[in-house]
Amino acid sequence: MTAPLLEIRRAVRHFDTPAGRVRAVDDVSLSIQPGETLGLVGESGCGKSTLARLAMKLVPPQSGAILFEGDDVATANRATLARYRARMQMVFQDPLSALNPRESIFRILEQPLLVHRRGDRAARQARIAQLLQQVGLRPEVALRYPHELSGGQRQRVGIARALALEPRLLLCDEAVSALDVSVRAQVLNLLLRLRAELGLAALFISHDLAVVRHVADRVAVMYLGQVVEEAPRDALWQQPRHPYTRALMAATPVADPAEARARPPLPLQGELPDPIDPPAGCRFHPRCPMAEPRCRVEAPVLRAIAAGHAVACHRP
Amino acid sequence: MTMTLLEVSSLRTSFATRSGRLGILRDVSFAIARGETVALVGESGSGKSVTAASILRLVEAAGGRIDAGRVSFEGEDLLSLSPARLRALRGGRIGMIFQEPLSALNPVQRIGDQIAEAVRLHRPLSRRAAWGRAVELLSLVQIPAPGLRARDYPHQLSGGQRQRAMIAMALACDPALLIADEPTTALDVITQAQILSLLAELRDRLGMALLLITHDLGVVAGVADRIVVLYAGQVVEQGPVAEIFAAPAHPYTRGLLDAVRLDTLTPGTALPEIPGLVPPLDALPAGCAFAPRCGRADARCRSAAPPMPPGGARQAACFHPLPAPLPGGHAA
Repeated sequence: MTAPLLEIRRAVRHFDTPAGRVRAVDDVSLSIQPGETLGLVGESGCGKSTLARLAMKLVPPQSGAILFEGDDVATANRATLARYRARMQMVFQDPLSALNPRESIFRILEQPLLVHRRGDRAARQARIAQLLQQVGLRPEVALRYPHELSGGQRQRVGIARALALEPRLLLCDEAVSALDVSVRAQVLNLLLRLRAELGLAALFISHDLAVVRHVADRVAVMYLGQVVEEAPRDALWQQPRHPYTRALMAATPVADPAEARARPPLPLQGELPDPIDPPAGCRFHPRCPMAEPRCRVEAPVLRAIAAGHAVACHRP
Repeated sequence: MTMTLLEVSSLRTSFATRSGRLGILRDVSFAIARGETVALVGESGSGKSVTAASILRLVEAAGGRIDAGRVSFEGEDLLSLSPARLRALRGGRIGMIFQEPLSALNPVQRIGDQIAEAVRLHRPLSRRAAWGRAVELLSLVQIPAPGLRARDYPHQLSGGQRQRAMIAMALACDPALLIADEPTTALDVITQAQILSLLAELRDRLGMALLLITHDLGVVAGVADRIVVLYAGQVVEQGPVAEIFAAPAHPYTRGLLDAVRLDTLTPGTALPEIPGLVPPLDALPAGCAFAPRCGRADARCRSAAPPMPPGGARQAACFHPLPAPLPGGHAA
């Protein structure tokens, strides 16, 4: 087995708020191999975006380690950190808020090249032209401003900016969630094509299981700051073992009127509990149709049940 | 014979812009029968929210103008209604809920008081009786401990509970029609499924009709009776949900369906795309508005706009509709 590109080891990140401590990421371990796409699914508040921010070192973990190509990011010197940040780039959900409205697309794409001192002006111009072409935008878009572009075009600019420094890993945080359905297909196809052409690895964070199933090689499911199940894509869909994973699948809309109407009612009740005061024992037990007395007191640990398939449940 | 509750005919709505009046709705017609669920489906800029706002004449407050057409509800012409009668109808016989309940709820008023106020706007009840009705409504939308939650402020509720509270408020006066504009778009998958099944349950229990406005055809497959597809301010196709899903006639409808049927593809393969972008409404192409993005378009489509054939349960405005499936076979 090759060394992972990114490895998150038992990362913990809590946030203190006036209402109490939010356990956003609570002992999470994940790894991504070169060229691999790991899907990360879960509801809002489950900690999936915090995990991406931890990986980017936008926030430091309180404990645990983040390793990129084997180097511990926490102890890296400035030069290593700069190189690391260049090799790992983020694509955000809302490109309009991620792009500076007062800068032209050319300036937006030039920024990372300037910060990382890549090439002279002519080289930067050539690189920007190449980036626009790679993401399917016309050269004259360089002269435009973000508000002059459509949502899909802005997301292409967001992707071009992420590609500027030739990263090895893209962190896509709900990258297609805000797009209209017809545009979503175009942007997903662009990501699939770039991934194949450039051999990129990706952490693909989404609440949309159908999209994750289409793009991910492996999938991790998060619930209240913890990974509750992790498996290769096909294994997860053939045999989801955690009741929460099954609930997510049962809640995903099915585009077939007869099948949608024949579905049994959702096998769980209630909503995501307050992350400030998560339930004792298994955090999912108050909503779980399978919960038994043990689940109320003893937190299940994530354990392997098949090759590459792990689940944190007393009754998988 | 079904009874028509709402009928929208040849509706045209425009907004003033710096470069003149811009037509947002360019001929929208559809009807909803009593107790029926109609999904109005389209992407951003299709005019689906403006359609909802035009029905209740809310567009006028937002700078819009209804230029032509008719909207009749329970036999009354909404476009010639007095302001007082219109206010009585909004939140009375017609309830409405929005995508983001937090922006529609008053942040500094307790949930129970807001619902009680909505009740008292339309019914001569005492404060005490209206509060009782508010708690009853919160219980109807399945909020646990409704008596306690009524005392909460909006920010104290979760996103799903806020949407339930919005629904409770919209149901205050037993509406015959509930208009829901992207009611689940901001919600997580599980909450989305819960809210959709709540809406379907309330519809059946209260016998109300539902106008569901959405960008996502997949979401409405399980709840809608009929689908109306909007593109660039016009209805391009409408029909019963099973027929639309089994054999879409308009190429745009087909494209929308392909986009939500990821599960029929091999993972990692290219998705079917609708090429290009929705045209800006101030620069619409001549002929069919969808022609520049359509694989079936020819010279005729680029010069003349295909009319919507009159009448019938199933309609598509297209010169080259996709063939219907052969009996016992599959759609081409």
